[in-house]
Amino acid sequence: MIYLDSAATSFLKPPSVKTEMMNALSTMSSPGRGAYPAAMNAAEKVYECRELVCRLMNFPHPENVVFTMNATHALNIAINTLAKSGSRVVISGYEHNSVTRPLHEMGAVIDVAEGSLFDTEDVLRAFSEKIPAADLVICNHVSNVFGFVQPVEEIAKLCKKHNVPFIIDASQSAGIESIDAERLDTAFIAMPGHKGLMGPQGTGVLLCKERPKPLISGGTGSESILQTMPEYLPDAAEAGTHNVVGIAGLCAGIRYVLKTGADTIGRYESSLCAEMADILGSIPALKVYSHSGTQAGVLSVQHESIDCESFCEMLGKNSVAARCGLHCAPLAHKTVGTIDRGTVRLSFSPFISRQQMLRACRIISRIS
Amino acid sequence: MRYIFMCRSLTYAQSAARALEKNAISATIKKAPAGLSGSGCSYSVSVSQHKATAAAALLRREGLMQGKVFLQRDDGTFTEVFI
Repeated sequence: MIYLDSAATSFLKPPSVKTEMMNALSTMSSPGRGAYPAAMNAAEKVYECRELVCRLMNFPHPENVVFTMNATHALNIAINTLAKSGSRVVISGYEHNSVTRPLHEMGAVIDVAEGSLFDTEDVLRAFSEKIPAADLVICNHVSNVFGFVQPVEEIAKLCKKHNVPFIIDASQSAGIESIDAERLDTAFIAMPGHKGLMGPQGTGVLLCKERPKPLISGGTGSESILQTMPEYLPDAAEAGTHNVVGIAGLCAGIRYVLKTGADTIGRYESSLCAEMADILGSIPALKVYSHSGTQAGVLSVQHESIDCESFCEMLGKNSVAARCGLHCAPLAHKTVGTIDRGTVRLSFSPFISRQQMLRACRIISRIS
Repeated sequence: MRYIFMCRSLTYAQSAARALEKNAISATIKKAPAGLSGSGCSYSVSVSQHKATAAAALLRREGLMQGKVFLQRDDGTFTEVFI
């Protein structure tokens, strides 16, 4: 199989991820619930992971690294902390349902800063018009549909200037793009553990500058006598037993990213994506959404006469794994004008070779 | 004798122990001894008597001094101390 669905999850992982998880299963119990060796092994692993996240993202406080189930969970914590019914929340035109659905649910006023695809200046212009009147700003770093790298640093500066809290959704950029959390200095940065960070599913991370409101309450292994959640991090946002096995795998994944370099991974994926876009762009029946310079390793295409679902099915029969449809991001499709048909998304990973990418191009060419 | 620095959570105990170890102060993370935390489950960092003052200064500087400090005598009894 040629796995071109890494934007969904990193199916291809460093072998050390599995090794660490197997080791955790046999040597680690629950952190923060005891002081015997198996509990302390678990505690040590969880803390090590917090430190690795800090090292990768230049984030100064391991205590403020909160583990979540996934990026959606992390975003929900952040959104529920900073927005409420009636809040005016400015978002980009490329947001995922993990941002828009919680906002809809709580009755926030969603104000979309619409910028043209791959046009960072246009996106910045749209944000700069809307930020002064916003209660909260949310923007993904990289669009999960089009790979558009959005100008989050500049947006963060605008937010700071107008004293508006900012949440970054780093779902498609963590482990792939350079993220300097201290320089960005945003309220929250949310990310999955199982995409660019190479960990297993069931892991996510929320970097907190603000103290989050607990989304769920329960045992934390601290201040047990009290019937309120602890006010300090990470306990305030980590009720219940940790996913220690997952976090152990995430440690191995982050170590791989640190060793390889997020920038190196990002450049490699972008180069595969750009070359594939060039090749597919020469097929007359295909519309290819690409742009060098502002695109990560995520490519969307549409066939002029074959619907995306059928196209993906044909790819699957030829052992190419891709995702079709709206990718849980109808807003992004609406912004670009692909909402009626969706797109076929091809996304890369450091474990996909150029030869595999070229083979996928030949298969797509044959189908087209 | 040892000095017991109470921490508000396991993670803070780990941060405190890391900071101390980085500064050549050997520290051990333990569940808080019975009756000392006042709020149920808690963790602590234990350091040797002759490093206690340096440890307290370092933890204050790093913003990691968040609980009471106890002197643990060899007979197992505890006394709150202010260092």
